[in-house]
Amino acid sequence: MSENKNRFLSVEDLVVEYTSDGEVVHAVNGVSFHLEKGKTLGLVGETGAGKTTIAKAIMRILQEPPASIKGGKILLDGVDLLKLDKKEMYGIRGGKISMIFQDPMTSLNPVHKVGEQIAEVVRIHNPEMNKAQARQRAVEMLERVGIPAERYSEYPHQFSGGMKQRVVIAMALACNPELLLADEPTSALDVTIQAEVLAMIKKLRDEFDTAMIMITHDLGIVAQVCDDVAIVYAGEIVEYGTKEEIYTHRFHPYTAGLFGAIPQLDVRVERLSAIKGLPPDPTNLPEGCHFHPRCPYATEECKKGKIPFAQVRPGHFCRCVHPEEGRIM
Amino acid sequence: MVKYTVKRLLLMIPVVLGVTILIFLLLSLVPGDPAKLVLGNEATVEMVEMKRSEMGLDKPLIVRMLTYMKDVFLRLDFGTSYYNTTPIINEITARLPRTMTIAGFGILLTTILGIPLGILAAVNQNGIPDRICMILSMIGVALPEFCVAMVLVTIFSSKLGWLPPYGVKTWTCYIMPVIAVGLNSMAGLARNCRNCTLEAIRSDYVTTARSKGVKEWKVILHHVLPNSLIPVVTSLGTSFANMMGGAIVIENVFSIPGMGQYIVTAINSRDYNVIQGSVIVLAIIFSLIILLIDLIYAYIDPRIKAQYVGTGRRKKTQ
Amino acid sequence: MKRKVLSVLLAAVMTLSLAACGSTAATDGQSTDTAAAAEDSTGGEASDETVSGEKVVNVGLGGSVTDVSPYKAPDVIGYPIQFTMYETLFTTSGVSSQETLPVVGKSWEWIDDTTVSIEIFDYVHDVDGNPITAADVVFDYETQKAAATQTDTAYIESVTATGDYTLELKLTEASESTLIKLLTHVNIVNQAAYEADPETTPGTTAYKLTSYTSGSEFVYEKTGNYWQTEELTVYSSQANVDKVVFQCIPEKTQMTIALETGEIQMAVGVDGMEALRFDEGGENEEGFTVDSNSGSFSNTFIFNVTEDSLCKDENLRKAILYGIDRDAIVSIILSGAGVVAKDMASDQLAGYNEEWLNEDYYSYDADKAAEFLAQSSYNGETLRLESDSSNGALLELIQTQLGAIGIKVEIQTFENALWQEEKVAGTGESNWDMCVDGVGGSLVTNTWKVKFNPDNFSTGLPQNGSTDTELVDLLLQAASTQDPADLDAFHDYVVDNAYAIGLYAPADKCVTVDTISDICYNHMGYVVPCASNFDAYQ
Repeated sequence: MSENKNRFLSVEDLVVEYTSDGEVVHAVNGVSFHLEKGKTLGLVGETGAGKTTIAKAIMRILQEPPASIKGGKILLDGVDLLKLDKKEMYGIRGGKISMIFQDPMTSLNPVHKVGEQIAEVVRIHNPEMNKAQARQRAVEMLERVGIPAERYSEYPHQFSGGMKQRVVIAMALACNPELLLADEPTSALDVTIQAEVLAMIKKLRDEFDTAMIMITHDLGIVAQVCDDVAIVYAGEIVEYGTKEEIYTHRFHPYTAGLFGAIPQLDVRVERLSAIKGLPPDPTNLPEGCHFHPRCPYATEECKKGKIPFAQVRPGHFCRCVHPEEGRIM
Repeated sequence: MVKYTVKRLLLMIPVVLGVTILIFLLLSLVPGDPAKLVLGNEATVEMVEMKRSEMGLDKPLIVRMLTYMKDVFLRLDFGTSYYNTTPIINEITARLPRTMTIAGFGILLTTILGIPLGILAAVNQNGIPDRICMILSMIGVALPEFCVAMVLVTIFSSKLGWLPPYGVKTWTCYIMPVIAVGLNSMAGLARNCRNCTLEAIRSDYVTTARSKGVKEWKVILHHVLPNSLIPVVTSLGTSFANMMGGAIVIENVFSIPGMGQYIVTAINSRDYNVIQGSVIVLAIIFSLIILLIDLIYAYIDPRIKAQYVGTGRRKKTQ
Repeated sequence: MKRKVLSVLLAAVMTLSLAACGSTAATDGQSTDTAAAAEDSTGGEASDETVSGEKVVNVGLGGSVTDVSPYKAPDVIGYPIQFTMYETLFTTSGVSSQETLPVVGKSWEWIDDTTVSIEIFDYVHDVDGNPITAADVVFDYETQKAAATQTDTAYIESVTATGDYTLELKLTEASESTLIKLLTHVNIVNQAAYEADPETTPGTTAYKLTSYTSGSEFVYEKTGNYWQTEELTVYSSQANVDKVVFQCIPEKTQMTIALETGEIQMAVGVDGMEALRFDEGGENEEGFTVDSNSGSFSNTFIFNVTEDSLCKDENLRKAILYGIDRDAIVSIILSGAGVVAKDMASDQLAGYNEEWLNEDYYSYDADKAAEFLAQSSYNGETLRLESDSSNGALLELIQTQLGAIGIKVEIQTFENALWQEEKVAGTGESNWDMCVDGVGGSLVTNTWKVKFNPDNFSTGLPQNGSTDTELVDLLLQAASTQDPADLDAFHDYVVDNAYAIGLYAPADKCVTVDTISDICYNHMGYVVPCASNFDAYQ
């Protein structure tokens, strides 16, 4: 990760809270990361770690009550997105930044034609185009994702899950966004389709030279698609580095645990290895290192104070009091 | 869709025939002798018998029913009332438009006021518009139509003198009845619409739409509304049916000679032909309304349209 | 979706523009159909019309009238219209009179026991100019008989024309009262005119139906084409206004509002409570008069004297009758608009004996009630009191009154059509011990017959299920002779045996503006609006 002006996206100390019935859920607790143009960052973590919240915060499509962005900056090409007004955000969403969501079955509006939904985003960001031109572009996108042009006027219920997701991808990329946020785009699909869709995302990303943030809990996907990886736990980034770094040198106990949990085909074991314990209650996070209740290497120091995010190798950061490679969990 | 519509229209025939048979049977079972009622209480038993025979009521049920059905469906002859010589079909032709005008404009009013109110309440959940909507619904549902009608008459006719209090002479006579009938259903509709909209707003496709940069008002109107409309349209159909039926009270208060008054008077005096004729006509109208509602569903939701058309092609090609 | 939005907007715009034009359109277009009268009144005066000096009156009727044909079933609500449109052969000066006055008919006489010969005026014509001859009258009677909507036509054996202006009417029984009824109740029209238009056939009065909306409004205008000379015109055929508009207003509060705002100047059949507003001391007293007319209707109280009922015990019956306070009933239920009855029939009917008014006719007396109750076999059982649905409040009041003297009563009301079946005792299906039943009529004996003539009931017994043959004999005697002594005998018999009593006779209220006076009531006791006094009216 370079420190220069190539930083296309820069998130600094983002804090997001959800308030409901008087309880405060600390979803995102001071997250910072950077992304260069054209590169892909993987946000890895368990369910509930806060990954989707980060992505939605960047797009500013969080439901304002109950969510609220309490602090931080999100700089896109130097512009703080959190300071823009509504009108400016409308222009950004779908235009500069797009998002692909997790569940293709419910992401498309059931009463609008599939082609129309793509054409809609085209028209919003290209007001100079007329209807026919927008339709033409939508048709192009459909063909790009492998859906025949005749299916423009069909409705979502006439498509299978994989095809729906391809439509969503077509929608997201229709206006050449500079940043694509993909929130577990293949989790809801079966394995064979997963591979196809992933391949498509990769291909298009390369064609359009789009920067991408891939949110996933699947380390396999990270390996295929990402350049940099950030491990997220309890609303914080606990380890950050390039893909090669993280995959070969793991410092944080949680990261070690994640990789350790991947079943190996060639080794016989009686049970799958899992990380002991459960993710913490976000309304009542443990003091000090949020991971310390589950960490076999935790000491007294881990239990208090803010743990610094320190560099352990060039370009590789870790938020741990005792970072060490090669640990068994 | 044309095939579907034609099929439904054809299905209406057995429905209407069934209704005719049912109402005929029911009336024959209901106690109360029309001959006696026509002649009044000075009639002797002998006179009543003669009258029954003159009315054809002494013939066996099946014969009467078949004769009646033949007259109605083949010759469009609904007969005359027992009390006078006016052909029933003339009365119905004169009265039905009035009742339908009130019900029709009532539904229009309900829709125009109710849907926006419901949407506003849903979009500003727990905010001021929402509270207002809740309160208005409670009041609207609790206040009987009669009450609203009398209040309107007192204010607009008695005190201000702007609108005629009763009758059907000019179109202004219809304003208050329409409002009375519309306000009541509007409350229910707003509530219903609010709930449906709330549900639709939480859907994933709404998040997708927002992530495309669609402006919020357009999200509501273009993406949320069509999805939340299905249950709302259903309740509109029910409301319309209620309005046609509930018109009785309104017609009485505003002295509007409509179907409601006609049927109720006929029931009280056991005027069989009038009751049967009116019920048949109303059954036809209700069937048409329901068909219309079903067609509206198809227009709004393509999934339902696919069901009707029966194709539902699922191209599973990847 | 754009289409949907557009259509919604369009509808909204339409509605808004309709509402906007509303306030300006008040007197758009003087079509002959609309009585511009009712339309532009904005609280205040009598609305008048197109031609200055023309007298127009708007009359409110308390129900919906859909039919004005001459031979339909009698409809009290529509009577004012009927009497404005049609005339009969003869009339009488009032309900209690049996002396005929000539209208279309000139004179009549018995030529044998059951046949009368009738002569009509030779210059009668209807409002369109069609002449009326004896052949038309014969047609009218035959049509009325065939329509079978009036019970007395069953007594017509035959009717034949004997000349251009003379005819013979033969009855099945020798009864003058039936004859009088037939002479005064059949509307006269021209045969060809009826065949051309049976629904709004022109009549022989001075008024022509110029426009109407069935169930809502009927407009009659004076044509100046009345056939009779001024001196010979009978009281009920006087035509004192140029135009009359009948408006159907079934809702009673609307009727009051219509009077207050000047939409109507006369209201017929006004509810007692509403009439109080316009009476002395009421809120709307200013400018209005209330005319009260004793009607021919009375409400009676009848006992079930079959074996099934406790009321076969005469002492119990007398106890109950003394326990009912009818003055209270009149003041509470009728708001004072009526009189306590002294016979089952109203005192307006023909044959009513004035002396009955002075009798002690079971006046309320709690002590006597207690006395008879003690002598009776009543032991705290619950009696059933039933009536039709219009008498709900009355039943509750009687229930309370009887409860006060120690008699437990359960009440039930029935829809009118069901009531006609239920009210006959002894069918095995009815359940009442006592009932309240209303009755009208023109003769006292007709009223009595309605209750006690075995021919009227499928049980072959009177309504109360009585097997008392003397009761029936006295009744039939009185009905055929109409002799005051026979009438008295029947009256006394019913009273002594406590079979039934009359509760009250309600008064009909007619509310008008001050400038209309001397409301005209015809031979049936109903209002004839146009024959009233309009001298002071504008």
